[in-house]
Amino acid sequence: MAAAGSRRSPTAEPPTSQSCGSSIVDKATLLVIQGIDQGARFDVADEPLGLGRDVVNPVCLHDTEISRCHARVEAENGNFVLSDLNSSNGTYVNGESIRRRELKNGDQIQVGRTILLFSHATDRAAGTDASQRIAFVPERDAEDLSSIVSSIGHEVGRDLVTQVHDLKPDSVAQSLANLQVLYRISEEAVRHSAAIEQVLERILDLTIEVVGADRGCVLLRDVDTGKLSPQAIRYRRGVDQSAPMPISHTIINSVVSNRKGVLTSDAQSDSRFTAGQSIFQAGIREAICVPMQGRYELMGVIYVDITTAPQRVLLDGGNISKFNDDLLRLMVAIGRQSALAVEDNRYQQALVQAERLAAIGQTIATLSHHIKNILQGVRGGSYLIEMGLKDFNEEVVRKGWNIVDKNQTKIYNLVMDMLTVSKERQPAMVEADLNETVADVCELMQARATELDIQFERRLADDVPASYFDPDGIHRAVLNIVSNAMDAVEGREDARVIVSTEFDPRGGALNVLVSDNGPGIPQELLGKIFQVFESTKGARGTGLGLAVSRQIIREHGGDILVESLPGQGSLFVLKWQLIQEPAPAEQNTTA
Amino acid sequence: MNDGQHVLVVDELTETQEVLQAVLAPRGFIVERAAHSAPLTAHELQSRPDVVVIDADSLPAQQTSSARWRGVPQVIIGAARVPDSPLAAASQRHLAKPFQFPELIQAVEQLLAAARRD
Repeated sequence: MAAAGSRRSPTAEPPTSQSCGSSIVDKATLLVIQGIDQGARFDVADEPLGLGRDVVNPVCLHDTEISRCHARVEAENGNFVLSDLNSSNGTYVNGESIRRRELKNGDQIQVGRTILLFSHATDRAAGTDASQRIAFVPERDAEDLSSIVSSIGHEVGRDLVTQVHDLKPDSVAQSLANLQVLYRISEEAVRHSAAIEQVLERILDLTIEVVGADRGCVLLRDVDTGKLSPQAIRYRRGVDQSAPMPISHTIINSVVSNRKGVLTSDAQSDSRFTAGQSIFQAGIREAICVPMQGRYELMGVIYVDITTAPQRVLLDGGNISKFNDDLLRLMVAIGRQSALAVEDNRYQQALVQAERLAAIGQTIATLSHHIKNILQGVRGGSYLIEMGLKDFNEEVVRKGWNIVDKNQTKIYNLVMDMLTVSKERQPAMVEADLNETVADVCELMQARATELDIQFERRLADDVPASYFDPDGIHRAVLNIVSNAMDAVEGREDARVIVSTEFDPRGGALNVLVSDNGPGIPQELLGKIFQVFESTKGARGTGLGLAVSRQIIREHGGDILVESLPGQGSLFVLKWQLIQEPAPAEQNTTA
Repeated sequence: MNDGQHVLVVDELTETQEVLQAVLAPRGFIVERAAHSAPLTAHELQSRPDVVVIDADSLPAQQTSSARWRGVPQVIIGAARVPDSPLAAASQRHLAKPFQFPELIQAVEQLLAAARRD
């Protein structure tokens, strides 16, 4: 389900958050991760986006604890702001009640019992962007003057806060600060996020902030080739982003081979001070590179650097160092946390992929089964037609044609149901008479009722007002339910199906009721009947009809209620709110 | 003689029975249908069919070999083929979906002919 989205307006201010500065089109989405509409996704664009139960909202949710017009998301200065519209049950962001809040990537919005994940990514491939902003310095390159100042094994990071030998206030405070950083990184790592690049970018932002680096990047190891490639790059605010970030192959190879974090500096060569004075022209560049050691293997490396300006170096006589062993130790711990985040993300992705493949497999198997049955029917009909033509027997030809025709209708219905289930559509709301639509269904089904000797009654209420709904959709929804009712009573001596309409003026609701005196639905199946591919009709059912009917009624902001008693029959109530005014879009069209 | 030979099609869909009826009824056979889900009527229980055609795809496995049809020559239609055994070969035929109807008619005719010889 995707509401109509639009690109960011050219007049909007550029994003104020740290960004890489390349041409970026912001792209935001709301994904329902909990609640009745779980799985529904909505694009968020420049147009204000209403959230609520009413069908006029682009984000129409079917949770009964949500107000009709509950909240709104709108673009403001390059960001998105969520406002509560005096809803009855309030709007929450990450568990906090809000009236108005600027949304950040990964925020969880709770309305009623529904939780939506806000994702605000950029429309670029982070990995590609990072690759273009990094310049690898080959091994033994004459320009690479960096040398390793100190190194620490990846296992030391684990002791960062667990072994505080020095109980001086400064040391304790530092340990607590480190703990806080690691906690924040862990928190980032477990937040819902669409892509690992987003997690890595957030970790890099925190790392740059805490170690005071100018820029940082993450290189991840390819699962198949084992090669490291840049996945994310971030800069401290105000740092020049035009020059590529140099990364030394020598340093990376050392980190990968030894599984040790290293601190490097190009200020170690005393000869440079005495000979060329080049350090006073280019400044001093320090870097920390640490392994991202996962539970079982190396996931990649994190590389951060900082350059001290020539003037500063000059003032301090070349004796300047911003990175130290404490920061290196902290970085090693961050590397470990980041590796675990990458591992978890990959496990999660693999799990999602496996579930997706399983679902695809089940879908294909179920559809193949139905299509095979239909094909079998067509073959049977064709065989009779051929036989009848050969024998000049018109009756046999007609029998064959009836079978072909019946199966042609089956395949049409199957395709239409699949299309309806595969994506949520906007109902085509027009002013119409519900009784007329229901009467059409009854007329269509009358022949079948007669054929099966079913007592088929229609009781259409006189007071049903004209209203706005999707007549084709409602027709399809009611037809599916009536057809099911007839299947349920087929073969009974006193088979009866009653279709009625009702208008509830107090609740402002329209009801279509379909009752039968069939065998009823066992209690344990009642919770499953609306699930896709769940059918109690064996080979006669596709398992799509009820799912389609409910989807259509929910598109109208309503639902289908079922009462069933085994041995006595079932009652299906299709219920939705009366709409007597066209939605704004239709009003505009009309105008 | 074909008179009175009875073919029962156990299938929730009607097409197989309709085709067999159109082909076999003019030749004196009786072709009836029973849905899986419906309990057999007293008439169906009393009149033992000469051949039963079972759509096994939507029938639980234990029902395809249930005591209900033991000893009755069977044509079993389904996605999976059951391995042939010498004993079953004489009284069982298997057709994988989608099949051609002449194959089904031939299988039913062979079993009916064998039943007449017995």
